[in-house]
Amino acid sequence: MPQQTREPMQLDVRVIPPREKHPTIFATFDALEPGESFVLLNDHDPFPLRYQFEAERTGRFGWEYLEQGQAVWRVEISRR
Amino acid sequence: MRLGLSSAAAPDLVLAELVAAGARRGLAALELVSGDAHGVSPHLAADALRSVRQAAREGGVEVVAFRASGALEVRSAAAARLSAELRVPVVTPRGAVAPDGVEALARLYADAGGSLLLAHGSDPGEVTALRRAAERAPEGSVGLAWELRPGADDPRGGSGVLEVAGSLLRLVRLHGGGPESAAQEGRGIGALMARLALGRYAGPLVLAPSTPAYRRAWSAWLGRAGGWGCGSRQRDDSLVVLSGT
Repeated sequence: MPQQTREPMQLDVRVIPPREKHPTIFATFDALEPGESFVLLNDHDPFPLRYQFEAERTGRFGWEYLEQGQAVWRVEISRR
Repeated sequence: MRLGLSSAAAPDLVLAELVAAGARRGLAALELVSGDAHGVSPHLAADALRSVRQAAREGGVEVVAFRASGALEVRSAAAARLSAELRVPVVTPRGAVAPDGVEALARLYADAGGSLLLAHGSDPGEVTALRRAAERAPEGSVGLAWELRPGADDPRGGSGVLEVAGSLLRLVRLHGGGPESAAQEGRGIGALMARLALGRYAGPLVLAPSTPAYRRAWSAWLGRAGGWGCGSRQRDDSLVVLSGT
């Protein structure tokens, strides 16, 4: 596995087939240690995902928009 | 990780059009394939090569690799000079350089101030041989470029490639994504992206068509703005429908 530990974890879901996006995001989240986070990159506002997090990982995640652009949205999702 | 575009997706576009298409799609990296209409070649003068880099940056995109056409081009001093002037690695097509020829070629690039990436597939044995060759080369002059074909490769093999390539992995070239994304379900792309994220892979991942037959679909995809959804929509008429590969 590449060891470039100074880089933040970035999960770009734009290339992932649509039905695999949310399972991949949750699998990545579940692999985090408490206090860790990753940056989600998407081509639209992933607000439906936030509702799913609120329902399925209630109180265990943080959600912060880093960029809300025309082409790319970046959200830092952290594990509490 | 930076998601990028290969000029192979739109080989008839000139550089400015490629940069605009990449920026429109939020693709921050650009791989230039030798012979495509962008016009970048080892025969360009040094100032022209520097202008290419600058023009791309001003358009919000960074040129991250130049993919040579074959063994003859990759072994030329002009290609090594291009790498130095453009400040990007030259990618050797898969199989164009045998492992025992890597060290000498790497010296050519190192002496010119450039660098080289050795393309490989998803067989960890192939990656191991190239990695050993790269480790005998001058430090920093050689890295690895993974040619990933989700339709042909075993999706479970990805973890082996990442383990073996380690920090030498400098570029991932995904044959698919873009308009082909929806047709690549079940081929391990989600798992791969998660592994790259958790491994903190920081290099570019460039998208290229899985076959030239899909170039029209890519052209249409690059020409429009906006996303293709997360799967929650029942129907999206803007998507190009592809037959299976």
